[in-house]
Amino acid sequence: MNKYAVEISGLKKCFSDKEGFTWALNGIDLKIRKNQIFGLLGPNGAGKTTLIYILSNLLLPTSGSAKVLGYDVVKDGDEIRKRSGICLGGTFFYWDMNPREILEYYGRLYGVERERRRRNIDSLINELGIKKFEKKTFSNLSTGMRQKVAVAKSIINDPEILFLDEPTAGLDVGVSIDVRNFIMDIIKERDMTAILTSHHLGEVEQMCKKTAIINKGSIVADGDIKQIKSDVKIPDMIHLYLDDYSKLDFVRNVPGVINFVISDGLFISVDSGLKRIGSIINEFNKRKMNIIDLEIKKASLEEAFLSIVGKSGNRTARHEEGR
Amino acid sequence: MLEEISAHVYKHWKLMARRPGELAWLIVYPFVGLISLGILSFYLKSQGAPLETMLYVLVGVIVWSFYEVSQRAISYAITFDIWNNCLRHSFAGKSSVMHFIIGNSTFGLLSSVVAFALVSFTSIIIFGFNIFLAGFYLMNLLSVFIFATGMGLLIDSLMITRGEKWMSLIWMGTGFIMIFSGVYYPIDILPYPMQWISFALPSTHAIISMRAALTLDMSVANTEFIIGLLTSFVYLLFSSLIFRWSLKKSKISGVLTKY
Repeated sequence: MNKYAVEISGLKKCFSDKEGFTWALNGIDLKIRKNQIFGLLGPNGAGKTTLIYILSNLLLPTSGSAKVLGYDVVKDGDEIRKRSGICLGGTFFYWDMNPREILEYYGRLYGVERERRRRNIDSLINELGIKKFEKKTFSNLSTGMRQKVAVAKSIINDPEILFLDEPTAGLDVGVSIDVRNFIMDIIKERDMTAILTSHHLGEVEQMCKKTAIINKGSIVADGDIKQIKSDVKIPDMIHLYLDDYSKLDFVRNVPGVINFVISDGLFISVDSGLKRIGSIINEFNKRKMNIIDLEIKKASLEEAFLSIVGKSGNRTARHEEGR
Repeated sequence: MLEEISAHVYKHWKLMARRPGELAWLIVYPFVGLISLGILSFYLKSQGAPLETMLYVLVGVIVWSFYEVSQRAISYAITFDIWNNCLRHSFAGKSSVMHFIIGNSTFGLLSSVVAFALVSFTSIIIFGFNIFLAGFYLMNLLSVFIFATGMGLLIDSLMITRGEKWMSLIWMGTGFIMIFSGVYYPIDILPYPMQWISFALPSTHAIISMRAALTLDMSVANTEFIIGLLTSFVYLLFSSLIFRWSLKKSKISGVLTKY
């Protein structure tokens, strides 16, 4: 049995218009194991959504190959669409239909038989807190409620794989947490695979163990999030509050210390916070310097992400070669 | 399979129920068309035009109402999706092109039968003209329905590959087909090259067959019925292939994911 939910090899996608052509994906190679939430990170225009659309058979690639659940995205689109669900951030449905009607329509469109459809709609409406609003038309729903309908729609057919393209974009903190928790619970409960794209790096860090960072249509890092963070060697930070900030030159000579700065306390960057904290405390004790408070700050995925893709605009390369 | 087909009928039904303007297409416009053109035929008769003039106009207006409502259901399937910005979701599911065609045309058939019944009974009551006297030759409406489905699919194909800019073609396309179908006049009065276009349209043959059946010219009624039915299937086959190809093209260009 194939252990991979997604296998991508040399995948390229080029869009053309009057002004020239744009390579949205520039040769993606990626394998995603089953039964996990896999994160796909990248700046705007990096190619994340294009990749999600290709995997869900809404776009066809220019070259290369991709398989979802063992099915080829070009040849076996029907099989992929039958087994997958897609949830897009800030998406729209029929403005004049209410949530129950929207779920009824998509349930039918996905071929879900009557009894299972009714059961799924009832349980999704209750679990996502849509019940109170089920008679309101989509046009009269709040952004948060619309997004909950989008999440419900994406799993109405009990998919084996779920594509989540920024599912919490534009939502307030409360609704984001609801949506996130619901997705995490349902994926764990049903042993599904999900691919999540997000700008919210904290969200990816919370929901995924593995991720790929995509930039300018190429994968620039992938694997375990912890591993990515350690690979890019972003220093940890030890934040100390002291009663005296003079005579701190010795800090520079403590093994593992990269730099330090005084600003609302003493910030010491070190190669590994947990490894160096003992020797740093010893050095202060030796000099009879009193530490009032301390905190170790681990490198975040956000810092790793910025280090990999850079802080400047990272738009997809546009080749103005004309046609 | 039934679930996927019923999805399209369900969508049309719910949207029509929520949008009073949609009911106008089904009821008001066919009714207004019948009344205004029926009165015109009365006027022409009062000016000395033969009785057949009234038959010409009323058969035309009733059959054309049927065509317009049939075509609208299938061409509006994509229009609604573009207006509501949810086109990609309609093609993300298990539902196939075949489900799309059968589902939307089923609603087209149901709604056009309602419109047909409305105008036909109104015509009996107000103008004393009974189209049901055509008997078996009412089956010409099947050719009209199949042809309208094919034309609707061609309009869908344009919208799915080019986007909303081409929406006005829904009405333009219908107008042009009406000119060539001889809805209110015999096609003999059209310039010769235009008559060739008319002959290529199943709607022309269906209307001629209906008129012939009502004037008891059975030989013409039979021949035109068969030509209309056969050509309508050719149009449907051709437009289904074009629609399938357009959907693929839309997945390559990215138009499908824009809406």
